Amino acid sequence: MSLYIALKSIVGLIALWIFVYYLWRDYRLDSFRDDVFSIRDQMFVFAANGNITFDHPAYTILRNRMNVLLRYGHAFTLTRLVLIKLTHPLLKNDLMEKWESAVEQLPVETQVRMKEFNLRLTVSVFQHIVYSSFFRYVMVRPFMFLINPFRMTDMKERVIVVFTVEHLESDAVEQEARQGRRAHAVVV
Amino acid sequence: MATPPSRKPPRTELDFHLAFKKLDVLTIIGREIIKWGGLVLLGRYVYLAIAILAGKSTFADIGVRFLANIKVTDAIIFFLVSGGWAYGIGQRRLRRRHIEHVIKSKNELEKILDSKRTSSDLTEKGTTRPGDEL
Repeated sequence: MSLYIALKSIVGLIALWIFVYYLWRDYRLDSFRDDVFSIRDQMFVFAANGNITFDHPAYTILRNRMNVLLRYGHAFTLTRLVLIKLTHPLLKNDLMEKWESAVEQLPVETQVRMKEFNLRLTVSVFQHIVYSSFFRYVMVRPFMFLINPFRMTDMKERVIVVFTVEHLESDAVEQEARQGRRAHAVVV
Repeated sequence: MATPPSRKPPRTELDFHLAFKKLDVLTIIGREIIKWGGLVLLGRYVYLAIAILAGKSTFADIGVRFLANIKVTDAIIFFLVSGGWAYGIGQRRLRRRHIEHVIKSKNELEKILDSKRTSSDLTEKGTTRPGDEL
């Protein structure tokens, strides 16, 4: 191998390293946050139009979940998801149960919209987990033109995926609660 | 004398927190090993490339030979790639500056309708807070 090719390869590999570990991760995280902000804004407008009150638990719980996802989006990785699923397969998500019972109190049309916001959120998290690795993106993305597992109608049927993603979210919500308690303790 | 069978006490919330924290640490350690291990491997290749030439060529020789070998197609690829990087990084900076401009007024307007409006606690540019980084 000539010196020229060796130097070119080294420069290329260093550039690829920076791209994969810094630029790509930042881009995917920003893209994920943009998705969640968009869902949160749409839900806000939905509430502002009088469809649901701002203090209804179905609204506040889902909004808080979105806030937590926005804040800890950088912590959602496939490795973490797999590890949590393997070590805590039967962990219950109390917050989601509360949210579901709060949604059931709403009129049917509002229920449908709130569930749609929730599902879109789950799809965004799942998509973020899959695409956060550049190599995974390169491997998976081309097939999305043929089969798109992130389609909402398909995702509705995949209860396990929804449940698994909610697992990861509940961990982040608890992390947020822990930090909140710690901050409160410091202030007190 | 037979000992009574030991029963595992039920796991408390703190046990779960500890378990999740351990998983976090495990994930971070694995990620950092792969990330910096890759860079160390790259460093080794650079070292090997230099070691082969030690005593045979000077840096000036290498530079001249490198430049002499550059083809037009390589130069085009170089400008295309570096241009793409500059464009992407510039766009990102612009987007973050735009978010910083519009977010304050948007949040204040939302607070008029929802006085108890909760926030994501991100920075004004929409990036991760320094204390939250893993």
